[in-house]
Amino acid sequence: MARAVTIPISFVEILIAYSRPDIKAFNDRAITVQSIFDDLSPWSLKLDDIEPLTTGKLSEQGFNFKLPLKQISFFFGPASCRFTRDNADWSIAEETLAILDAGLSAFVEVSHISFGVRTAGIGVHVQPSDGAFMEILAPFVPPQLVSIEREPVKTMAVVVKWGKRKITIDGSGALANAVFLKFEREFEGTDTLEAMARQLRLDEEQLFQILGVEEAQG
Amino acid sequence: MNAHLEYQTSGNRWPPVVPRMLHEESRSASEEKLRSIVGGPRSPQGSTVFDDLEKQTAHYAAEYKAVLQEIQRGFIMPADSSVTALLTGNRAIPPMVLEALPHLKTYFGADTIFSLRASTDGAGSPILYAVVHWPGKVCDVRSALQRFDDEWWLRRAGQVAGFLTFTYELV
Repeated sequence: MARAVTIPISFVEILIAYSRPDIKAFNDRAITVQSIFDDLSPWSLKLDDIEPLTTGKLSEQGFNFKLPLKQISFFFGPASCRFTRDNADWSIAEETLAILDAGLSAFVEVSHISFGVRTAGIGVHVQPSDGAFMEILAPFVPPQLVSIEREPVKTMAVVVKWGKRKITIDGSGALANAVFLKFEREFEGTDTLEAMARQLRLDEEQLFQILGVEEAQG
Repeated sequence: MNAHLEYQTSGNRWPPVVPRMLHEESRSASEEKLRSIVGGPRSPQGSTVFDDLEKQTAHYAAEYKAVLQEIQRGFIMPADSSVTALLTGNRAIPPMVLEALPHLKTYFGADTIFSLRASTDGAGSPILYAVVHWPGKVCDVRSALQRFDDEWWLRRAGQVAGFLTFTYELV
């Protein structure tokens, strides 16, 4: 029987690389920023929520749009853009996709940039309602390592990477007695946002089953 | 406790949600609740930002001072100003600390001593520890803290976005 857990902290992040870096689009920043600002305005974006980043490597410079009420940040740089939402869950997936789509559409409309590989990932801190987090992690500790010390294992992490997929299972560094799970996938530029969300949801269900946990309702 | 060196958050540090201000037309339920604890007159309904601004500012300062005094009655504070400065700089935290007090007494006992301690996390952000001074067995306090987290705290933790942590010390 699956162990009941709560998910006090979660986030989704989507990194989209452009087909090729486009510095030209950032020469005339005002038009780009205005277009994104207009399209994100329905979600209470204020002028001071736009943060120009002008230090660091060229790839790190750009504009960061923040929607504090939605806990969303949206960075646009000359080589890639990055979208994050904190405390995201599947009940607000539709809204998350709508905001992401609005920002991307506004950006493409004025910059004419074409997108390349998209990497989407979800991070969740899973806290068991009963028992210790190590009971969830224990099956993933290699038995060869468990036996080399007398004292019980305090924590562990496992990272598995494929060509287009990566899974991280770790003890939580943000919550007491919790497991951190992050699963990421690479998608083609042609994949729709909805298809990406569907796949990530399947990935989450699969991993929760492997970990032997299910989110407590209510 | 993590074992792998990887960021486990989005990297954003969202400020706590600050309660509605005094000059706003309608008052939220939590503000009314706070007023019932600390007392004080109502500010005029329907006043604009600039109407009676000085009076409103003075009233707001007095109300905040009363909240701090209420916190000092429930928690042991350090001799220095570290906790007061943290509370003053993060105005969403004091109402939450005050709201937590009766629940702490419920889960840990009415005679248990509680204290506040200010610190900073690895990134230099302020963090306030509400510490339960526990004279009994460690398994009992861990169990009580678990229930407190599950039944009350975790549903509210997002409101102060990691600035407040409840923990215990064995005495």
